[in-house]
Amino acid sequence: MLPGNPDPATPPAGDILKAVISLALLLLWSGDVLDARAQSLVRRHCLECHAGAQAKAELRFDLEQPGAGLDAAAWREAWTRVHAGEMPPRKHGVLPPDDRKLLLELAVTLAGQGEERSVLRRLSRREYENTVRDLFGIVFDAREHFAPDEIGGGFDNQGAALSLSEADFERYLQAGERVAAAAIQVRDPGAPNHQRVRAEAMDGGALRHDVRTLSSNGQIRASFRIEAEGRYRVRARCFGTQAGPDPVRWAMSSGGREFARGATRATLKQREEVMGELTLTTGSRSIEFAFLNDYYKPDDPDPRQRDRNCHLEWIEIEGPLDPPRYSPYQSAALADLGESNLRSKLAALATRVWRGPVSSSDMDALLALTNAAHRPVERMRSALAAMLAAPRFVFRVETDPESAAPGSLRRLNGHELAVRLSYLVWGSLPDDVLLQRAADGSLLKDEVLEAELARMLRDPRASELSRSFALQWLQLEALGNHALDAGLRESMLAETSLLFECVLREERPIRELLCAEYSFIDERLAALYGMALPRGPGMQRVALPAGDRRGVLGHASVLTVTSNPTRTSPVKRGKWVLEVLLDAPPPPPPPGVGVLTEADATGAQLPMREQLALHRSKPECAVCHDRLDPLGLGLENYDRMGRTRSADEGGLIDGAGALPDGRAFHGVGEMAQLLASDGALARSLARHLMTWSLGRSLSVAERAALEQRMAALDAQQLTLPGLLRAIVLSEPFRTKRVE
Amino acid sequence: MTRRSLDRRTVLRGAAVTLALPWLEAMLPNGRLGVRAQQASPPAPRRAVWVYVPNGLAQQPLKAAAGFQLQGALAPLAPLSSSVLLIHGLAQDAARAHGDGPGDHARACAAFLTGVHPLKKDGAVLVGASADQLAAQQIGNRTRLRSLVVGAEGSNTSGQCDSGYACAYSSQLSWAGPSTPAGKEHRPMRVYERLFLDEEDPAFLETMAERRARRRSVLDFVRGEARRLEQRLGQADRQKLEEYQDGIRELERRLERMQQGEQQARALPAPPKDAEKNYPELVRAHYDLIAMALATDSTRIATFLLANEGSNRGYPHLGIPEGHHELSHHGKDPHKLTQWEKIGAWHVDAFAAFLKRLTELREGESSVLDSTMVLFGSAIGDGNRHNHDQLPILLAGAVRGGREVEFAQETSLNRLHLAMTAYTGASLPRLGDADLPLDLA
Repeated sequence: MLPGNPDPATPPAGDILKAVISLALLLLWSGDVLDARAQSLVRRHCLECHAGAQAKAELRFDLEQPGAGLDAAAWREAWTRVHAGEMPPRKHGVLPPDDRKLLLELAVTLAGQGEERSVLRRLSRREYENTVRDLFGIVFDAREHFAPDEIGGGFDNQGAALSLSEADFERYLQAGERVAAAAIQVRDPGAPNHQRVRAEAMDGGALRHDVRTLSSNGQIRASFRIEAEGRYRVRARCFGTQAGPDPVRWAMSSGGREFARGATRATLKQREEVMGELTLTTGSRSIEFAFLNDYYKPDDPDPRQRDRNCHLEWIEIEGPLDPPRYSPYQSAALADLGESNLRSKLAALATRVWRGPVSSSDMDALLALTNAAHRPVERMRSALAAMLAAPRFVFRVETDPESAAPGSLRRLNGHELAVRLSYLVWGSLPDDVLLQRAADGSLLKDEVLEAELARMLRDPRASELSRSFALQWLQLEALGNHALDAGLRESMLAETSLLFECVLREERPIRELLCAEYSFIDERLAALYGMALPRGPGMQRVALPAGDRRGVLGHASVLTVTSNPTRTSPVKRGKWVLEVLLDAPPPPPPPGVGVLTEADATGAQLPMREQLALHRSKPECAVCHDRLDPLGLGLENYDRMGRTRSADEGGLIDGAGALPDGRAFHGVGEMAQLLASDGALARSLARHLMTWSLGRSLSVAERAALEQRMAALDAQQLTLPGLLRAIVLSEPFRTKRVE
Repeated sequence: MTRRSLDRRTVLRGAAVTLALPWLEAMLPNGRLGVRAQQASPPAPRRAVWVYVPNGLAQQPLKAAAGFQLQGALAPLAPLSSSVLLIHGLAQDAARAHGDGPGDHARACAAFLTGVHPLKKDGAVLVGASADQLAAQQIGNRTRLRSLVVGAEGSNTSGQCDSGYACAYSSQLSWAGPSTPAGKEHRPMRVYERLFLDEEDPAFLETMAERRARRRSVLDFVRGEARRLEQRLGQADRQKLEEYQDGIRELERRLERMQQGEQQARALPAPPKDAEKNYPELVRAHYDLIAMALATDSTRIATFLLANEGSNRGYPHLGIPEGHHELSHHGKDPHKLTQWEKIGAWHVDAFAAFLKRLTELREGESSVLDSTMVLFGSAIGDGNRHNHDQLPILLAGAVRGGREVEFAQETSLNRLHLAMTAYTGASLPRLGDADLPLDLA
């Protein structure tokens, strides 16, 4: 899948960084005033607006002062704005490429270092779930168990944002206990069990003979004791007193969460068993059976058509249906477990759980949690519960050796690198092979690192990139806040996730994310797009018909998440393009600006394009909206849910738009071609993936180095595996700044 | 975020200093540092309890005599008068008919804590989530049980109970969602089991004490781990680890507090096996269980429906064979009126015993009552008129008591619920017609 040799067009990461640093050194005036060339650069492009008492945006250059009067933070801001193409403003003419390059280098130099410090990363809920799954084959619902993770820089895995409140700590303890109880089973986990609760032992409704009756909408509750977590089948024997036009409708839920619903025409003489399936965790769990459509028409001439009721005889559960099979680690830990091998088996388990070597004193402490009066399996379970609550599991720890000089960059050791790699690609812990490469040190070699990456990308677990990274990068997790049919939402997300998966797995050029002439749709999306039904159930790969629905810009997911509930929002769409595809986020609107009104002074509804033009006539709005609006207007041929349209309430739609650099396009197809052709998409993706992999924002020096590296790659042919290879071989991925 | 954790650390650092003080204090002649040493005990958790009486309480709002003398039906509360606040003028507008005709009992109960006018249609169930459950959603994860919802009568989750209203309305105070009652438990033994047996791990069925002991040893272990790790981490990493260590400390304090609470709770009588047969016993058992749950910090939110709204049970232990609901429609008949008021007075008496229990349960220097807001009242004023204004409402515990306040007529009861939930640390933007907590200062 990946060539064994490094791409000849890819210079080693270190060289690029060195090149940037040496250039920077040339430009570094040891904190003194800028040299003549740099002064002239700033004078020509910045001073007109950013000097003296009237300096705009409070950014005030003073060429007499060291660093031209700006501190490191201000130079970082300057870099970002120049890099995004916002500054100098286009109305002042286009910045010559050489000047732009020099100005950026100057900013990198003066922005200094030190902001790239990483902080201890806690496992996010997603990572916790994946890790437990890969360790023990256990599905643990961490999203339900833990408080939501804070999002930083658009991602759920950023060290600085992932905090841990005092109340959360106990949740870690509980989670550890639950996982340990499920992982280290004292009895055979496979034996499924049947439990039936008869009407007399339930609550709710009215009990008559052996049946509970719901004579109006309401529910009946039965309680079950669940000893093994897993999927359960629930059967309820019920029937109706049928009346009125509809059959009896019912729903089953557990703790208020519905898992099945349906209708039954069953009667007293012909009772029926209705079914559903759900996942149950251990403990006392309730199943509720609800009657949904009571009907009462006392004056109906037919006495049998006057009153509809619902009756329940029993509820039965059977499970777990997927008896947890021991994962290799469980088997190894539990097979022939006895007093004599407890310590060695525990050490093997701890190495896995803690993702690195363990010491003899670690073993002493773990065994001290219990004593010889306990059975070995109980001791193993207690030790595991403690391991899972310990900082070595909860956090991804990278400790500096004592010999490392503070402030210097040090190379990660094998285990640290293995952990970064596995959480980047799988969102989970390293497997045995990777741990082996870490332990023998071979992972530190470029060719082994590349080969491991290639191997891991072939693994099914790599789909984590399509599911989690891609949806977070594309800001699609916010789709959950939109009022949509749940099924349709799933289909929308699946379409985008599958396109990313396809580009990843089939090693297609990254630009296909924008230009793909195929997509993945099911009947819901086919109906939405007005396309022929796909052959076969579920999501199917189909060739897109002629038109300009191409790539993610034509996906309902993206077009919906960037819309308002009742109409499209060209501004939001423009912002999305800037942030996601161009990595040039606009600054937040200044305080006190109004929102877009939908009508002019006369109260008439204006076409969207004219509304926005009106809006841009205000200079304080134009500075950003000149960049935002023309992007979003180019997407107006898709409505708020991504349906094609040629007109809206304001009249015919004109798909004309322009990129921030002024290049004009007509319609989504042309826009995508432009964005894909010059590597902007690949650069943005690279920066986002880098942030994802490091769990922190990048310094401007790192961003500049990354751009250099990207410039050396062929943007037209670059694939996701190729990009990932560049990232894992890069300096920031393999080093850490010593504190 | 940063600021919050910084504040917390500062506080903790202060706590650590004072924690080291007791030996110093002993060396000083008259314990001058006593006040500071006392601050070291962890702040008690803040809780809220709602107790609801059906069928109204009295024709006119119960008032104290001059000098806040609690008399008549309120007399049993006299020994606790300094922690009792009588609140007048509150109304629950959502309990009114608004064109839906009769059914005041169902509406009163359903609207009391939700602030939402329940839907009257073919026995359908649609009201709103209740204040206690909304608060439990926010703060419930800090305790083993998110909330405790009990009642002295069973629930009818279906059927019609009051003039075309679904039965759920008149038998449920607490609502997890608009159509989902929170699942009231009326059997004291079940409540007891939930409190004292571990539901998470049925294979062990271990007791609270056993689990606490196990947690302690794990806490010791992870504390040692964190300490060793801390020494090898840089500054930024240490700050993150500190959040984790704060969590350890917080849990240790909680375990200590729970141990103290549990020792006291254990001393309380377990519910009698046949409690359900004897109403006064049953009411006392539920009050005791709520006290146990609060003292062990098993939950911080509880509701107690003394009987379903519109309940027509007799009170034979008071020599009253007639039904409560029937008596409440007294029509100014002197006999009925007396009997009805007698039942109300008995409920106040049982409530006073509950408050006394809460004052006896100690947490460090204070009592459980000191950090609990307990509401006692009804969404029906006079049972004969079914009025939903001038409601009989009193608040006890964590409130400036020993007085009565008169709010403007038609002040929303929901504002009081907002004040109570805010006290527990939950933040509800609004409830029913209210978005501003009642000022109880």
